[in-house]
Amino acid sequence: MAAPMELSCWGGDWGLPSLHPESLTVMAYAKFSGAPLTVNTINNSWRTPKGDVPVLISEDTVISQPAKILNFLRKQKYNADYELSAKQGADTLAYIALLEEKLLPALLHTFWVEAENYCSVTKPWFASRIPFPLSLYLPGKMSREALNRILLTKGGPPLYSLTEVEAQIYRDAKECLNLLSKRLGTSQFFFGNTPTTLDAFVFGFLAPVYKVCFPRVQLQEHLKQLPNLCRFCDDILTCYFRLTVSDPALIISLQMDDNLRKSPQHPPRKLTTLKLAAGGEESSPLNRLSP
Amino acid sequence: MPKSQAIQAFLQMCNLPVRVVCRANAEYMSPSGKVPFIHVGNQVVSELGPIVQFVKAKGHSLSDGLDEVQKAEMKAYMELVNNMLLTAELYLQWCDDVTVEEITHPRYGSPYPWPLNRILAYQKQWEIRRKMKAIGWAGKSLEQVLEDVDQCCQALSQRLGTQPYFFNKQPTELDALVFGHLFTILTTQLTTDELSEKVKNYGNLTAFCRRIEQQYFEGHDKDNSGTAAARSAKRSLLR
Repeated sequence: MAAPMELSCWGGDWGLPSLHPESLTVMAYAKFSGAPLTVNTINNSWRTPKGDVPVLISEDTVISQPAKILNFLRKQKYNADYELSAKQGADTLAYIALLEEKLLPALLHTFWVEAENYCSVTKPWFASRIPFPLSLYLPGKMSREALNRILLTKGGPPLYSLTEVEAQIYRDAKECLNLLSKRLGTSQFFFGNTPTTLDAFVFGFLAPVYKVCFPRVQLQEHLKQLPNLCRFCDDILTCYFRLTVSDPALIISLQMDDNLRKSPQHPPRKLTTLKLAAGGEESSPLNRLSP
Repeated sequence: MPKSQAIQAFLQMCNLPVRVVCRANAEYMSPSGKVPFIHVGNQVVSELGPIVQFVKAKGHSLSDGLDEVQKAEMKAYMELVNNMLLTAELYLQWCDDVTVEEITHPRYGSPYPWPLNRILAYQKQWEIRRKMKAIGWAGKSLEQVLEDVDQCCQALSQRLGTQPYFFNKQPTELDALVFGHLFTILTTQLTTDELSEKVKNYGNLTAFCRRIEQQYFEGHDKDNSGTAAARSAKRSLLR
């Protein structure tokens, strides 16, 4: 049998197996192709993430980018695209390029550059999973890299200020979501009834936008107006990841939340979403501020 | 260069007359700092995307006959070309040391006197290398870049198949864009022929370029009142 394979990646929250688009793409592909991966989520230990995440380790080989990891899995005969025609394979490459050019900048912006989102959600979440003292440095570095990437690829003239760049990237992202919705139509997956590489990439990019609860959510609101894309994400989560509220890991973390309510790194997000009282989301910032 | 071919092709596909003029300060004349740009009456519009929209607003469009799914596909393939071919061309021009020394620096700095030619060339190179680093291409070797180009050409070749254009009988913006890039790759002299060999592996792509050149550029060469430098720089696939 094939050698055991280990995937090191960022963990999940809000019902997702991972918050990081690239990690999520690899996990989804592994589920679709039936590859037996042991997933090690990066947590608060001294085995810190060095360089790129996600990383696949198989015997002595270490592979780091999603495209390369997927290629490796295909060579090990875990191929989710086996039944695709040549033209469909070409379409896959084209749509992945569309995602990277049009959707990724806005995704990076929502997570890492938008000040309210970054300070109240992204930074505490990632910092809580990186050991001190790297937790003081690494989230900031990831944020600077995201801003750098956005400005260098999208920020040339005639867009001179960050606000103009932001407006443009969100316009592009919304257009990209509309195009994906039209392409998906009413089918279950992008190429018929079985999921392929393209489905893994689209899921990896869309699910974080769909599920993570940010204060500033213009992209999420746009996505929620496209019901076929929301249904696509939900279907993959329930069929392939089986993450529902009755998930035992989630229940344990809910119990932990009571004890850690005073810690600024573990705001009681999950508790408020389960509360039957109205205004669950709006009261969570207040909860976070209270000691 | 690939973009100017693409835009010329696009305008000729729309049956709009166009005159090509070469200017050293073109980058500064353009509203976005990028060449090429078109000058129509009082208006100046640069880059393929805005030019396509400008032309559409005047009532000419190549992609009206496509349905929604086809338009999505067209946009996706245009991004693929931008993502892979354009980045690979930039990589080859500015990050491959041999090409940079022998071809790019002299060509980029040629309109300016020393030391301005060296300074501007180094500045542009630094800018491009920063961008490559941000998108993760800085760590790629030349072989990996050529492999990416091959993958992109394979995808385009499979999509084109045996049809005359990407969306069967009528050319669209995608055809103009692909033509621009492939024509430049096939006709530009570099230190090695590896890049053009990659494209030549796909017979239907070279046939596609030749067909568009014959149909849209042959007759217009005689009308073109470009400068002598432009005329001598004109190349052809049909030599």
